[in-house]
Amino acid sequence: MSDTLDQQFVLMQLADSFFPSGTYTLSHGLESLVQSQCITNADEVETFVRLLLCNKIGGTDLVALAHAYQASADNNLDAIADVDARLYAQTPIEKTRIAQRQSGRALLMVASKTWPHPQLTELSGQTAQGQVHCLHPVIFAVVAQIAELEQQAALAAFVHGFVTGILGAAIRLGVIGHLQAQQIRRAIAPDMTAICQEASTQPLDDMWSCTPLIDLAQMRQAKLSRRLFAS
Amino acid sequence: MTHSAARLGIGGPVGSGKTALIEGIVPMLMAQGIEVAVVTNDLLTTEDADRLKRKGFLPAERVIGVETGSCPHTAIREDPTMNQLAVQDLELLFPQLDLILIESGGDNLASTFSYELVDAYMFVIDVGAGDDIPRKNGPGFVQSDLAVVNKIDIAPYVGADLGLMRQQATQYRQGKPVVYTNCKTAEGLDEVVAFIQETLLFGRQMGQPSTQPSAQPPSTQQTSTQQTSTQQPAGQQPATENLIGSYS
Ligand SMILES: Nc1nc2c(ncn2[C@@H]2O[C@H](COP(=O)(O)OP(=O)(O)OP(=O)(O)O)[C@@H](O)[C@H]2O)c(=O)[nH]1
Ligand SMILES: [Mg+2]
Repeated sequence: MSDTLDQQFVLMQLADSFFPSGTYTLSHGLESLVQSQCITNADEVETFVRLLLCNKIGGTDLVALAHAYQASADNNLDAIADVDARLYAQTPIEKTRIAQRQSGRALLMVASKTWPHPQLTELSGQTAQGQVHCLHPVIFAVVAQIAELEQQAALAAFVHGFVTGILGAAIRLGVIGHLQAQQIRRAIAPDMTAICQEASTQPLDDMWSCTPLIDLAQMRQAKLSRRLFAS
Repeated sequence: MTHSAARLGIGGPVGSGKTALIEGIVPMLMAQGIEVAVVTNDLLTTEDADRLKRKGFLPAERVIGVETGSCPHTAIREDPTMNQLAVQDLELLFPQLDLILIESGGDNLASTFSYELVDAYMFVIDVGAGDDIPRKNGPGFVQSDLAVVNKIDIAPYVGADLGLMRQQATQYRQGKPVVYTNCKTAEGLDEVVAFIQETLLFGRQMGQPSTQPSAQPPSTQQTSTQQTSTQQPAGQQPATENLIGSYS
């Protein structure tokens, strides 16, 4: 896209929590950690978000996103499906897989009506047939590419949406206030930048994550008898 | 596009009787041969979904609970995508569905449904929550396609003036339908079912096994000749005839 202002507006549209893809129903394990009182204050929320970003999202979702973006730019649907399958393999927790798939499907549904494109039509068909898992970061990459965002902007939009989603969940869980949310958001900005820069240089084969306690919490989410969030 | 089911939203404040209404009308709808499924948006638990499953009149797979991250109105209006996916899944699993009910998490009087999610919605209020609710002019109550004033049985015990509610509900809803129900005795539920039939299901083929071959009405041949011979202006008429013919 030649006009950068245009691009910035697309970026804002996609990154905005106003964009409907159901991510407000996800807490990424935070609800479970709050219920078990492992997380009780703003510092712990900040550590939680930082851990998730640096030890999980940066090494998996963002790497997949960067590669799916390239595959979409090459109009290579097989390569998109491959990234989707590899990210699925990197996501062993069932609840997380379901959440990734649901928000991927929601995004695909809304994007297909907003930015109609043959790649999105094809992906919708493949999803209905069960040929792709339709994971959120992969669909996000394709939508961003089609909407003519640069790859870095696509990564930034994804990370921003992710962080905003978790901080919103933390507020609704009553563990931080609206000011603390903004302070945390500001404090982790360098981490957000770092993972976006790194992700675009990583080969798909090098996807990794290491967040054992958060993984356990995400697994427990499915068993909570009182819960607000889907993950 | 494959056959898609009609979608009916059910909104209203916490505890007004949304689930009780569903429990009352679903067996009545099923008795008329209507294929039903339910999506619930429980606020904090999966209680409503579990309750409907336990009742046993609907197979458990026909009840889906959707979490809303404590944003019940977002899930039916600003971002109804999670509910849309649940509806899509139900339609894929049960292509024979005629009607999908979507129960919103209990919310305030301002919560309205997006018509991109539902074809119509009802708004259930509780007589015990105050006989002044109709005149509060809440968008949910005033704009809904059907307002349900529930728990009329308790009016004498809470000092609610039903006569006043009737008068003001009609006034503020400017002629849009209102029904008065008691879910404990099923009083008024036939009117809710009639509303659903008229508004959402009119002309659908009910109570037929899905394997039944679609019997071509003998008029089909004649209809199409008529269509071609009379050309465009009468085009609408034979098409409608044909539809009613095959659906009756
Ligand atoms: N007396 C009387 N009680 C009713 C009636 N309808 C529902 N109730 C009772 O009201 C209570 C709440 O009913 P629910 O159907 O759970 O209400 P709801 O709107 O689904 O509640 P949430 O889903 O929690 O928002 C239950 O104890 C019902 O038995 C009625 O017509 N009369
Ligand atoms: Mg209920």
